[in-house]
Amino acid sequence: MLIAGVIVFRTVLVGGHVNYVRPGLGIPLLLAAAVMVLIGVASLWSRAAAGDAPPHEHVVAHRHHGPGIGWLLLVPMLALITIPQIPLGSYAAGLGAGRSPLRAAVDFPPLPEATNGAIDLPVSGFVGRALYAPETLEGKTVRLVGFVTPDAKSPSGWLLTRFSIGCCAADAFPLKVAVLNEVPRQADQWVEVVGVFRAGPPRGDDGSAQPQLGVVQSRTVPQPDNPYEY
Amino acid sequence: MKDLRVAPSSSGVGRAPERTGRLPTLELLLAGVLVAALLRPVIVRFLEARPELQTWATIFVSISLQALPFLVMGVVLAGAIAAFVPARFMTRVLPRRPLLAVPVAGVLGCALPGCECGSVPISARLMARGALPAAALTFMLSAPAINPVVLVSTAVAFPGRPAIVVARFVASLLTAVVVGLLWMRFGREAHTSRARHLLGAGNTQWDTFRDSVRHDFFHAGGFLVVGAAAAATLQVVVPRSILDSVAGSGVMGVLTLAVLAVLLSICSEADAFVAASLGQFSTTAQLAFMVVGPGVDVKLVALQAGIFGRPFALRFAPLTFSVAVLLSLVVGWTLL
Repeated sequence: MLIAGVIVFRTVLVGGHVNYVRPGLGIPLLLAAAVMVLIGVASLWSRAAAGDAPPHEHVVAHRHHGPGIGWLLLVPMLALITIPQIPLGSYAAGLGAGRSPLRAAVDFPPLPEATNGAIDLPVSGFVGRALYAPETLEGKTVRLVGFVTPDAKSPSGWLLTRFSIGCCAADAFPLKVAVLNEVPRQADQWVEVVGVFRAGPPRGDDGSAQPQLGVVQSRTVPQPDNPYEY
Repeated sequence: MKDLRVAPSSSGVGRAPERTGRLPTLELLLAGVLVAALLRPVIVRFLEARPELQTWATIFVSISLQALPFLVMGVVLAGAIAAFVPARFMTRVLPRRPLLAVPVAGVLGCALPGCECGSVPISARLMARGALPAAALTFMLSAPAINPVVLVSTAVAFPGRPAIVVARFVASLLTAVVVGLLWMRFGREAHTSRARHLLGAGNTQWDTFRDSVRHDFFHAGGFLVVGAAAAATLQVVVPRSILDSVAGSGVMGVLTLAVLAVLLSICSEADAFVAASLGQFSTTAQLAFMVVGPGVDVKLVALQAGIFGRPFALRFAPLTFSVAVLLSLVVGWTLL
């Protein structure tokens, strides 16, 4: 228990948890880890103090399966320290997902001011407006950040993608933008694009919403601190 | 010349090293962690070529991490109750009249945060102290399903959709009360007279607290891992077409998730996150998953059989399952 607590603690401190859950869960995770560490230490303490006294009997309560199953907890802990902590990427985007979190909002808030010649929008904001309030995007230059998902049927061979999560990575929904005038890029590369909304067939072959963006300029960027949108 | 082979133990007699049969767990764990850290580059390279495994791992870890704080909160509170609240307190609170006692017991469930595994021995203890069996059983069903920790975790799992939290509360409470009332009418004394005393072995209150937390944490945590793995596997391995067709078909979807809830035996504080990850299924199906789970699952049936005897478990489990599914359908269609 002690070890698990320490691992979780370190993960949150390093910031790796945003690849899996909402950043807001960081504090509760730290608290939980602290509790785990405390209880772990307390157990070790009492075991050491008891020395070689005869083993206690009070774990007999659950005869059918004692905490033996607790060993399974090692799996996510080991996963946290061995596998690279990267967010969901192009493979997951290709899988398709559950219900879209985008709802036809009755009215969208006014667009923010442009910075450096373009309005910074989350991909979910862009896709939402493109589907339900395209008039708000008329003639506006926007800046989006997402990663590359290869798609042979799209105009440039790839779609700008961003995952939107409700609770955690497990319910992530991929939002896709069909970029026009773009060069071929590598899967999972993070890209920042500046462009103008183009009205066009809003849905891709698989039924997913894929509004179009005529790209004016783009560049690769490192993975953002918060890879998901909420 | 002194015989150097005499073991200098206090009893004066050389003893063979004590064999408790338990492995040196801490040392094993540390060694395991070290090995894992060393193997990391190998694993990274292995996964690079297999994005499906990486995706599986991300989903799996995310569910585990997401549920962890709620799991800890739940076991800490349950441990506190087990250690610091005398059992007699609960028997005194229940009204005498059976028809009243059952619903009241159901609502009282709000006050007992904790995994379903904790509520089984508590319910047994209540019965042993003279509480009406049907009321104790209702309490056993409602406590893991409608306590604050579970409701909060459900709210967190489905952000922006408070209707689901309400639906869960209503459906679970109704299930607990209905099962209790049915049991009162049709159940037999013989089935519950075997309730036995458990735990309560000496020890200070803090010891009980600490041991209860540890035990519950490992128990519930283990099942959480199984649940997270199963959900991740469902999302990554099962072809989307099959998943979508089953999920889309109303009652089939509900039954599928209800059965899945029984098989997965996830702790009630954490099952909301697994339910949320099964996004293809209808909200009613997700509701059924959350209502059925805390009441009847493989782990619970085993526990109940151990404490109340097998004849009880054989009757109680199917009863709870059917009522839970039916009420989920009803509540789901009206509220969601």
